[in-house]
Amino acid sequence: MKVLWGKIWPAIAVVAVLQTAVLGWMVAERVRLLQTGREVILPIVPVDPRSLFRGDYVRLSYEVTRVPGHLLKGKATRGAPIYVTVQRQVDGSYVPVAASETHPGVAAPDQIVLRGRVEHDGRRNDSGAGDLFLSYGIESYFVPEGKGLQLEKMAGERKLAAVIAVDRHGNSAIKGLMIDGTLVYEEPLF
Amino acid sequence: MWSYRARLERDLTRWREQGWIDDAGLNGIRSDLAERGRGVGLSTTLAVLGAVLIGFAVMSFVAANWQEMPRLARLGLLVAALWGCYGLAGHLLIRGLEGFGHAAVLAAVGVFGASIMLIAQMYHIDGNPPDAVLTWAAGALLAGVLLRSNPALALAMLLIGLWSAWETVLTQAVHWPFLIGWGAVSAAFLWRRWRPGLHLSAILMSIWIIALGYLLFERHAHWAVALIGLGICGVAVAAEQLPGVWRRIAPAILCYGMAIAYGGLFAFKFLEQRDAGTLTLLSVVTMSLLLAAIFWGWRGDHKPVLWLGYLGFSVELLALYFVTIGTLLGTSLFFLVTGIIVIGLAWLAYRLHTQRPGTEEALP
Repeated sequence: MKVLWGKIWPAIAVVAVLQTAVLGWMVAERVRLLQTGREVILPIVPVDPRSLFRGDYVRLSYEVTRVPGHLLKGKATRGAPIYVTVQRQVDGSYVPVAASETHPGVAAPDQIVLRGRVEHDGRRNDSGAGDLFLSYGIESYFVPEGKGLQLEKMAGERKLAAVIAVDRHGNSAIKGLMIDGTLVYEEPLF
Repeated sequence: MWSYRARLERDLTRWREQGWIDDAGLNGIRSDLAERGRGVGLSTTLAVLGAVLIGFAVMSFVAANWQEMPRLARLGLLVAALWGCYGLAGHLLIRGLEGFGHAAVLAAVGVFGASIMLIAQMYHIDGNPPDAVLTWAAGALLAGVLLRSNPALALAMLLIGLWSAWETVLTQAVHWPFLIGWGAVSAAFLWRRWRPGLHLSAILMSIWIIALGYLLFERHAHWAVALIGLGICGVAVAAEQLPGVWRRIAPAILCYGMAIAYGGLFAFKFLEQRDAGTLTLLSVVTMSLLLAAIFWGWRGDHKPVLWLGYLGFSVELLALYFVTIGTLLGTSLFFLVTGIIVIGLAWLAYRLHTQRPGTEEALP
């Protein structure tokens, strides 16, 4: 019995601690991104604004989801990482101005680099016309329970935007939601 | 287990009547049977099923999107559930309740996976979903190895399969990293000497190889799959000649080789368009190979090989009937000729059988 004690508990402790560490790392990584990332406000492209917050899970689409195909040279295999440089416009929105397979390094003050993954390459082979469709990891939004109807009423026909935190590697996370320029919902860190 | 017991009971009565065993022997066998693991199999099965149900309960809890509690409380609850399951597992294992202990380990690994999903949901993490499955698989492998838990290892293998299938669907390309994950879990199965686990490895590997036919060489690699399968069959036939463990696992290797070869040949012949001549030739080759396998299985008394051979033969006949070789008349002619040949073989086998001394089959 003594031998078993000495054998089983350390093994169980190692497994439990390591698995907890993985979960803790997931949370810590996210909190770091939300706390220290640069803030960008990306307008949400309305798909069907009336039913946006019905149900507990919505897909959000942004202007930067479509990247003009001529910006990227070379192949774009599905799931491959693409770094998109977006430029702030006078109306506060962002449009893609460059795309590359590696991080371009430092961007201008009114520019920001987002790390996306290729969802679909809609370019025609020769001309480079057509768009690339990317996802940035900020497309899923789990609507807090009970908040859906409230958010939907507020949204109405008005403009929706997401507050995004972006770190220096281009990783991004949803920080909050804006309606007509006012913050209506902010993600709690814990 | 139960069927074995029922059959043994029938045989025991018969043997006693024949006078091959005496009453002492009969009672000895019966008491040994009764003592050995009465109900252990059942209770372990139920415990593992219970653990799976608890896992589903946690996952439904996640899906319910519970927002009443602050995030920190939710995280605390998940970690508490994880540690609670491991604590229970340790407690049960020390008391010698292996079945229940491993069920608790399985439940803990389930809670770990549910926690990954819940945290992703809480923080709107929308990365590559297969990555989450891979993380879960790694956790299951860790628990399986350190706690010597076969159910956790089996879960790890299934998750590796899910991870790879998901990546393959997303990228529409061969997922080579599967080999690393598969190798790691298979090594753990080998180290545990757990035969059902090794079968699970072999099944997943067979599926992966057959899938290569749909992905490699502009999605037309079925011929290569068939060759790989035939190669594996060759290894099995050679292994039968070797002593020890090789001889014992040869039938299993042959079964998986047959499945892979047939999977490749089937797609090559019926899913891709072939002209009547090629189809006839390939079908004759397939049927000959299946007959050879059936013969090999019969000679060595390997039931699974026999059944797989019969199954392959039946599928082949049905498929041929549906695609028709050239015309319906051509199909009819093909069946007639092959039928005559097979009956001829049956007759030949019968003659050989009756001529061999000392092997007359007892006719009922």
